[in-house]
Order: sequence, then C-alpha cells, then structure tokens
Amino acid sequence: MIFERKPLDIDKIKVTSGEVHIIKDRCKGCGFCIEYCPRDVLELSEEFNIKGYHPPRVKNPDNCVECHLCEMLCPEFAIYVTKKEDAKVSAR
Amino acid sequence: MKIGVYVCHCGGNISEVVDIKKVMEFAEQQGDVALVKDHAHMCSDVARKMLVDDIKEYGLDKVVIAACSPQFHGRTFMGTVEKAGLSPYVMEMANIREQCSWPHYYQPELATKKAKDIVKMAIVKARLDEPLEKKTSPIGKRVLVIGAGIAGIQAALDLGDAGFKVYLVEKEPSIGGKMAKLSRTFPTEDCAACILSPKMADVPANPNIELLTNTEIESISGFLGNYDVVAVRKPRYVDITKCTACDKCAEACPVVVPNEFDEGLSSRKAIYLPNPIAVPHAYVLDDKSCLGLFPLACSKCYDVCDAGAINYDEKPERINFTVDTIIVATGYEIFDPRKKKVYEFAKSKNVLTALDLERLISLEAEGTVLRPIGRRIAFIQCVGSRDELVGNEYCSRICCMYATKLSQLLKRADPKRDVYVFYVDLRAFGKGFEEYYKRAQRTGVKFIRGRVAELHEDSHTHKVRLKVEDTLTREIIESEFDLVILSVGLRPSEGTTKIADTLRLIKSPGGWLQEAHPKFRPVDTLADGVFICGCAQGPKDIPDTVAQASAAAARAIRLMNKGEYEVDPITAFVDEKLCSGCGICAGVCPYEAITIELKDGKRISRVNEVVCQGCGACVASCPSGAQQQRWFMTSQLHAMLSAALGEEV
Amino acid sequence: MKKLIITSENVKFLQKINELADQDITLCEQCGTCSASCPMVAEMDITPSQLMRMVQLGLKEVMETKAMWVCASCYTCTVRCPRGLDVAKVAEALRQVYLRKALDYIEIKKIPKYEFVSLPQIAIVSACRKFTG
Repeated sequence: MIFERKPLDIDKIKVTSGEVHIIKDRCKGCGFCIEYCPRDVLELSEEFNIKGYHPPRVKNPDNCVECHLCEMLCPEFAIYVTKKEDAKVSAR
Repeated sequence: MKIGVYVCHCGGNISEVVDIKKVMEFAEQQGDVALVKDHAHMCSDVARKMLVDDIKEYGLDKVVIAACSPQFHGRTFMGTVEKAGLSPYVMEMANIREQCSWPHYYQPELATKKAKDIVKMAIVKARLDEPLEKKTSPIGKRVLVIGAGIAGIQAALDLGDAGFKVYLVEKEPSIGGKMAKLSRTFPTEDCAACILSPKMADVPANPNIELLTNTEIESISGFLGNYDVVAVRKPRYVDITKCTACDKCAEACPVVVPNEFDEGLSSRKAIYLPNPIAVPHAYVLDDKSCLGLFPLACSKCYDVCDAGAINYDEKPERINFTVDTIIVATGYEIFDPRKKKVYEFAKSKNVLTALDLERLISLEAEGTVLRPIGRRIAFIQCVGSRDELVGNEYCSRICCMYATKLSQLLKRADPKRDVYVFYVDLRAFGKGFEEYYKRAQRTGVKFIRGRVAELHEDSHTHKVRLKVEDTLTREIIESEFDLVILSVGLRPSEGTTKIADTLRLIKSPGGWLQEAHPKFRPVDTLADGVFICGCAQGPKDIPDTVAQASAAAARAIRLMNKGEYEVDPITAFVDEKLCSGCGICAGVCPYEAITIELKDGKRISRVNEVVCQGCGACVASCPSGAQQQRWFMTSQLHAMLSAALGEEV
Repeated sequence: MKKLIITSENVKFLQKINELADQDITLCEQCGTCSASCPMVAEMDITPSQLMRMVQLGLKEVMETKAMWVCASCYTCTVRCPRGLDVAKVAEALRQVYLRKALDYIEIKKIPKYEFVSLPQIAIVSACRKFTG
C-alpha cells in the first residue's frame, strides 16, 4: 500500500547509466532487444536500414542502466552498450 | 450392581427449593440402589472423603450425584471416584441445580417432582454405564512456530531451551517482525532494535531451533501429535552461509525500488539487506524488481560478489516435516490510512502514519535524515480503531501510548516544538503507563480531547490544516501544522488470515484468532495442540506479547512433556457388523475424524479416536445405528427417555 | 453550582427523543467529530456534540437553544459518526418535539393582507412548511 509514495531519498541514489549504440545496418529486425529490454528503452523505428528492415531506436535514453541484455541477445551483434559517467536515477 | 446415590443440598441452593427428603425416598425405591445419602456440600473435602470411604465399605460400583452441573464439578467427582478405584465413567451427575432448583425457584413442588425425574434418569443411565478407561496417545517433542516476530522468537527460544525441537517459519527474509521497525518502546523508551537484537541472535544459536526464513506454510493436515506440514521456501538467490553482507552487490545493482522496511519512505536496490539487524544477516534478491532472471538480464551483483554467494539458479523448495503441536504467532499489520479519506493520506506530503514516524526517527538517530519533521506537529488518535465506518469497532490498545511516546521523542529532539495529541480517551492502562503520560504532560505536550473530523493540506505551503472540537471546552479549533501523524490502529496480518483458513481456526470480531476461553485459556484454541500468541490473538503491546508467547510455549510443553497425553474415551466407535460403509458419518463429522476404508473387501467406517471430540453428530446421522458413542449409548438414551416419560424401566 | 439530579422527567425526555430519532443516543461517546464536521457550527450556541450530551442527560434546557434551528441537515455529522449514530436525525427529533406543540401555529387565512404582501416570500413558504402541521 505504501508503495504509491515516492521514496524521499530517491534523488540521492546514483546507479549506473548506459548509452545504447545501434549498428543499424547489421540489424535484421528480429525485435528481441525491444522485447526483452527490462527498462523499456527501445522501440521499433520508422526508418529502413540497408537490408530493408526497421532497426530499433532509443525511446527512453535515461532509463538505460547498462545491463547489456540487448547486447547479449542480439543474434547479429548489431547493438552494444557503453557506460555513461553521468548517472541520473530513474527508479521503476 | 450397587448404585450409591448422593443428594447435595448445595448450601441451600438446592435444598431451599427441592424437598431433599422426598428425593431421597424416591431414590431408595429404585432398583439396584444400595445406598442413599445427602450432604450439605458434596464437593467439600469432607463429603468427598465420605464418598471414597462409602465406595470401599459398601462395595459400590456405580455412583449418582444429584447436585450441580457436570460442567461445574463433573471433573471433581470423576477424580474422587477414580481415587476410590472405580472408573471415572461410572459416576453420573444429576443436575438438580442449574436445571431444576435455580430455574424453578418459585415452584418448589414442581421442582421436587422434576428432581425425582432427573435422578431417575441418572440412575437408569448409570445402570448401563461401562467402566471406560482413559486412553493415552504418544506425543513427541516437535513444535512448529509460525511467524518469527517477537512473539514467535520468544516462544521458539522458550521451547528450544526446554529441549523441544522447533521449526520456526518466517515468510520474510529476516526475523524480527514489526518490533524491528520501531524506534523506542513505551514506557521505558528502550531502543527497540537494541533489545530485540540479542534475542534475534539467540535464535540461530539455539541448536534446537531450525530457522526457515523466506518460507511460507502451504498446507497443514493431521491432528495433535501428528501434524504434517508442507512449507515452501522461496528462493533467496543468495547463499546465507557465504554472504558477508559487504554491500558490493547492492552498490552495483541498477534497480531502485521503495524499501518496505522503511514503509516506502526510503529506497533499496533489487538485492538488499532486509533490515540493519537482519537475522540471517545476508542479502536477498527480490526477483519481482530484479531486471530479470530468465533470461538473465544484468548479473552485475554476481560479477562483484567476492564471496561467490549469488546463485541465480535457486528454485522454490518444498519442505515437509511432521510436528506434534503448533504455535501461531503471525502478528499484525497497520490499518491502511487510505481507507479514511477525510485524512487525505494519499494526496498529502505532510500526513504520515505513526509507523512512518518511527522509521524517520530511527533513521535520524543513526544519522540519516530523510525529511525535516518540522515544528508544529499533531497526532490524530483512533485512526481506524473504534470506528464503525471502517468496520473496526475495537480499540487497538497501543496507539494512545505510542503517540505519547512519539510526542516525547519529538519534544526531546527539539524542545521548542509544539506537539499536540488529539485523543478521544487516553488509555494508559499498563504498568508505568499513567506515570509516563503524566511525564509527557509536564514536557508541554498538549493533549486535546476531540476526534479530528477532517484535514486538508494546502497545495502551496504544504501545511496541514485540521478541524477538531475541544470537547472539554466546547470550542471548535481550526489550526495549521507542519506535520500530521495518524495514529493508525492494528489489523490482523495477511498471514494471520491465511493461517486461520489453513488450520480452520475460529476468528473473533475484527478478524483476530479466537482463543478457547477469554479468561481461562487465552492462548489455547479449540483445536487441540494449536496455540496462538501475540497480536495474532488481538492487538497488544510488547510485554503482553512476550507474556503470551511464553504462555503458549508452556501450554505446548504441558501437552508434550510426558511423552503421552490423555484421550477422552467418550468417542464414537463403529459396530462393524451393522456398518454398510455408506459414508454419511464421514461427511457429517466436523473434525474430519472419520474415514471410510476397505476391510476384507467391505467398506467400513473408521473413527480416529484421537481426533474425535465426542459431539455425536455421526451417531445421529447413522441410518443403521452402527455408529455409537461411548457413555451415551443409544440404549442409555432410550432408557433415560423412558424414565423421563414415566414409563417403567 | 448545578445539582445534577436525573429525575424520571429527564429519563422520559431521553426516551422520547430516542423513539423519535429511532436510535440509542446513550451510545454517543462525545468524540466531537460531528461538531468539527458541522459547516454551521460557528453560528450555533451549543455544538452538536453538546446537543447530544444534553439529550443524553435528558436536560430539557436543550429545547431553548438555537443550535437545532441553525442546523442545515447536511448530514455530514451522520456520515462521519464513528459510532454510526444519526446526529442529524436527533436534531430533527428535537425540532419535531417543538413543532408538534404547534406553538407557532399559523392559519394562513388569518394573516392580515398588508403583512402578507410585505413579508419576504421565503418566510411565507417556510412558515407554511413548519407551522401549519
């Protein structure tokens, strides 16, 4: 019940933050990265890549906590994450 | 056969109404009656000695005592008759007080006539009484304690120290319950965590206690001496024997969620230490907020753990064991303040519950200031208690005292604070409570008698304005405060409600577990071998909780200590020649004591005499008369009816 | 100094109000929620919980107070009473006791025409409602 409230110290907590890099032309549009991202960072973009697929695009860049799941799931090695030093917290 | 009949005057209670002489003469005329005596007080030592001597001297083999109710002195006379060497079940009590002289006080002649009938019925029943013997059933030394708050901990320690094997099951990852959340306890202002911590540490140190945390009870079946328990241990994902509580995993974890221990006022990570004094002192991974385990999304905690304590492959584990007795100590939860919309808890920044304040004060004491508490503070009492609008008519017992205590802690931290307590009654009932209240008044805390009707937080200043009548001066007060604390009442916890269903325990109004007798059996339940203690039984403070926990442990030890316990022989049994295996009795039995089994190819009903409580439902339901109840055989009941209806027996 | 002697007259008065209001007014625990909820309490000479108190003690002096007439029958007191009492109904019961005496009985036909014409409309309407029963 109490968890409708936002914790009072949330602005003080720093967590890792990641930057998503997408190698658009390697992507084959399988959608795994979008589906499995636990922080809802990605969505399907409108543009086409050279193979004719819709690669992902970053929807919520601040949400990424560099868990690297997208990087590990991608069958084409088309996406990777680097650590951002500037950490802004966004809790679930 | 030699029946001895004793008619008691009951110190006038019977003799003032019923003509004792006439009853005695009547009794002498009945067949098989060898001796008729009267006495002023049959229950006195003198009279009972006379009874023992008479049995030996006259060779009596059946006894009828016409006196008070068997509920009253039944056990007394059974004991006396047993001392004389007879079975206690050849003693019949003819109730000519509660069922004769008392209700028919103004009609002595009719009362005397009725007394004769009652005595005759007792005599004909006694004629057919069999000399039943009490049976014993073996019982071991294993106890299940459900809930490891202060009540469960105390009971477990008492039992463990006494040499009994205890399974202590707690659904949270750490023991300690609500007491671990408190700042200080009334009336001594002892630091709650400081006094609780050594007790918590004693639990894993006790070799007789098996501590199962993060574990919930799935099902319990069976009966006293033979409870089969199935518990499910939820995966912690951390090996408690390896975890050093170094906090590196929590630092690395990217998920931030509200911390339940601080009532959502602070944050924690998905992998966290449940509370600062947690026992077992190990971290736990919350799989609901973790980024993902299947597939494994993150693994930052695993990567930094030097002790190698993290194991993502842990699965829920079913644990089976058998125990002899059970103690339920599942505790309380606080009333949800969102149910009182007039107090605007959900939309206000500066309206908090008392438990929130306990956490704020505790954290401030260790150096963490989550938010300023302000100068003008108001406590609103009876939130969710004594309130039929939210369905809680009862008083929660502790709120008056905890508000007084919190007011003292606030005043001491900043003496310039203006602290108000808006109460309906100030219930300071316990040892040292009234003195503590007086002390609080001296420090300038203003106690105003009036129930706050409504409050509203200003959207700009965030100050809270409340409206209340000072019923002692009849003035309406409208005043602004920096912080308003709702002194929320207690409710039975979710665990308490679930266990009541699992064990089929009766509940009191309010949803608390019902004790067997409010005065004489406050920690027993009507289920043999199941005991309750602490707030599961009703709201109470810590001293009362600890007292009840030790009491429950003592009651359990009382049952188990001799290695066997007595079973009343007044149970149902089956005449297998008459039984057709129809199964009606099994369906009617409220204790599930009857099963239908195959014996030599024939379906036969079988009564578990340990579980049978002698209610007689199966006897009444049996269409063939195969079910019989000892001491209330159908032949006896027919004889009593004939006697009552004036037919010759 | 007041000598509090509860006579059978007081008891009868309480019983009458209990019957009219169809509840047991002795159950009021004097918590003051009704008074603090009342939007008209500032205009009252006694507070709603004081009114309940006087009825509990069977004090007929309550009939001389202004409070029950200032009551707007908004029912906030009733919906908030933690004991589930209908406070607004008690105020109505007291009003009924007064009105049934028909002390201010009006016969519309007998009102002089000049008064009829100069009185505010609402006064005529409420007079018809209250004093012609």
